[in-house]
Amino acid sequence: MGYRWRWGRRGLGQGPGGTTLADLGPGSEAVVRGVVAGYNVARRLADMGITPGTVVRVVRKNALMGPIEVEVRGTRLLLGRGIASKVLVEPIVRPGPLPPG
Amino acid sequence: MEAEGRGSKRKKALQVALAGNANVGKSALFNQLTGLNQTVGNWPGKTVERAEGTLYFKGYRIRVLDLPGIYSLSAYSQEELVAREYIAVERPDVIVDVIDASALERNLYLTLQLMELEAPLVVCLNQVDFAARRGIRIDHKALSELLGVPVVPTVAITGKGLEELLEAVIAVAEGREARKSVPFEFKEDVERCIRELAEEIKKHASQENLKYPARWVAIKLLERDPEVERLVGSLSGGKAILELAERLARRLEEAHGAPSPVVIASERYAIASLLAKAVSRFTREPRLTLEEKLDAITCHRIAGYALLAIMALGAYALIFGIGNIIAGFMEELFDAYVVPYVSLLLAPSLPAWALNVICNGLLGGLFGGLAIVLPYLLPLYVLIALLEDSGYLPRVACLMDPIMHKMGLHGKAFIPLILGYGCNVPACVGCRIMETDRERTIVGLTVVLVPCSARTVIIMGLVARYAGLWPALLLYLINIALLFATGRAAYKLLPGEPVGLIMEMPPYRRPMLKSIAIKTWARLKSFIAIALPLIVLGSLFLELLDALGLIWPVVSALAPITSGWLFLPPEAGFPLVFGFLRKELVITLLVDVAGGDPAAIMGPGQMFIFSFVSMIYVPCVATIAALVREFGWKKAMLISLVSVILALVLGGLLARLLLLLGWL
Repeated sequence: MGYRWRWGRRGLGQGPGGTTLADLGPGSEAVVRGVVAGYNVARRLADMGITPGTVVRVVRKNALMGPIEVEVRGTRLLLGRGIASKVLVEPIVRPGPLPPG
Repeated sequence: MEAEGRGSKRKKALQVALAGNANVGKSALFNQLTGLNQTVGNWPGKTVERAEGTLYFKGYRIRVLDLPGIYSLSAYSQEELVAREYIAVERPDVIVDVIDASALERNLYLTLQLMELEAPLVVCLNQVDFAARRGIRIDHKALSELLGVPVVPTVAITGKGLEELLEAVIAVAEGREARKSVPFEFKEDVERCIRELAEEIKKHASQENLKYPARWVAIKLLERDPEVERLVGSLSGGKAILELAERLARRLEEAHGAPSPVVIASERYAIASLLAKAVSRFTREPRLTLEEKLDAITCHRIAGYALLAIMALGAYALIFGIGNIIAGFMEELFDAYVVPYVSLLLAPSLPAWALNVICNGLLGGLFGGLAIVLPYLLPLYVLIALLEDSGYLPRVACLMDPIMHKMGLHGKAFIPLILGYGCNVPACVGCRIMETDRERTIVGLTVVLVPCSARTVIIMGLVARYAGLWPALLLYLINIALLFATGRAAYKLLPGEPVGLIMEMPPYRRPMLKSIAIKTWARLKSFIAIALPLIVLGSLFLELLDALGLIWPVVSALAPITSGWLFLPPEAGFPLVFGFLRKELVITLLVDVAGGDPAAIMGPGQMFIFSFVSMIYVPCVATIAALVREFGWKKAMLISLVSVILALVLGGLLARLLLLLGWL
């Protein structure tokens, strides 16, 4: 075994260049683009609903580089900071409120 | 669900298994169905809890097996492997898939896999009340149509819908429910790969050989499931199948730009998502704002930790408060009634030495187990059940995760460790909440080093009393440093891939008394069955040795270690040997052997060394019993050995350090 999956928009074989889940701020949303991890972690994340194209919302980021709580597919997950930094995402920018007039 | 025809001889029997995610109310359902008629043990050879019970309904005797909570049927954890093997090999009559109405999409992911496994299914749509309050309504009839299996809405904790559920179970068991044979298809290209692979598999093995349906095997091979790969590899012609699977998997990977396990998982979730959307109606935004506000406190950078500290101290006080009361009561009972009665009964028929062995050994052991360990386990188990049911446990794991990482573990490991400060026995059992064997072992190794209440007694009674409070505190600090060091060392040395924290954050729920009572009783029963006999046997054994006059020769034989290496008086070997059996005895024995005052034979420096060694070396017999139960004999012996070696080596080094500093 011992696969190191490197996939996603940044292409195979490259390091985790790009925004990861750990980079997002609380309240922000993003689309999952890829995961850089071994079989166990990639599999577990997929089983819990983190698959390409899925929308995740960051609920809170805990102190001391603690775990990150995300909402995905209607339920909430707690991901260790290390795990979160392996999930490549593309932030969703929501347009702000329209100016009056 | 009361007895009907319980006395009749011709009773039909059914085997039913409960499957589903954790936190969906599966245990509540199990408890409602089986009540106190349940036994909790382990799956043979595995550290996965197995709960079984029986109920009688409409002339059927139904044996219910509560499978561990799982999110998938992959090879990720022991729980998943146990569940899927059970379903395929034991072939229960019906599987009740318990799903949480508030988390339909994720729960259906498992349902789809159960259908891939061709399990005879009844879906139990649980916690519909909770979902309704959050504005989620599920059309269970529509869901039943789409899935092709019965879907019964329930509120397990109140018992609502359970009768309909059992009716559906019987209907499926009796074959009265038609089921779709291939319920769902993936996207065209994925489906083609599956079919091609399944055909190849069917050529080489029948379902009897494989145990699993060919389509399921095909899907799992495409998912690169290591266990299934191993299974297929052992078949004749298996190599050809594996090669084909590899080719097809690669084809999928190139087409989709992701590893094949993720492609399949994605596809499955796509189906789950469509199903969920088709049957769900939202009457308001299903956002848990109250939850999030509560979590803002419980996980807060300051308030969260403060709250945890208060809870921990409160729990500690409660456990020892209640424990002391029960222990005191048991002690009185023993001294006033049991011991005199038994000696009176046996005195005429036994010589004095045998009477001694029985009273001190057998009764002493019973006393040790029932009056010393059990009184603290009872409030401990109640508190654990409370933590589990209320949903606070994941918040604890969240707070402790960064600190646990420094130990080579993750947040969940905090729970067994903190349990260890009370008693190492439930701490060892608590190791099973870690997902992988590797992590369980690391926690197991670390947990036996945590000073339990018995060891605290030694530290307080010896070091705090004779050398001062600060040296005693220093011992605890050294211990914590040792925990970190051991954790990190184990992290580096043990084979396998470390896994970070990936955990569901369940909503807070009101704990139900019945559930707590049942869980606690089941766990106590299991402790009594395993640990108590061992404590008694150990006690008897040592008393026998004593009666045969073999203790002192053993102690003198150990003198090179106790005196030569540890710089302790040779008599100190006596309490240390007994300490293997019951740590609480160490102080009283030391007092005995010192002729009333430990200070007479040991200086404060020596007491420090003595307490240090006691704090670390082999856990008591009860802990070894728990270790054996959780890890098997080999690992249990290994862990015990490591603790002894650590205690001796570090103890000797400490002794020399103290000598160097002139503190001995």
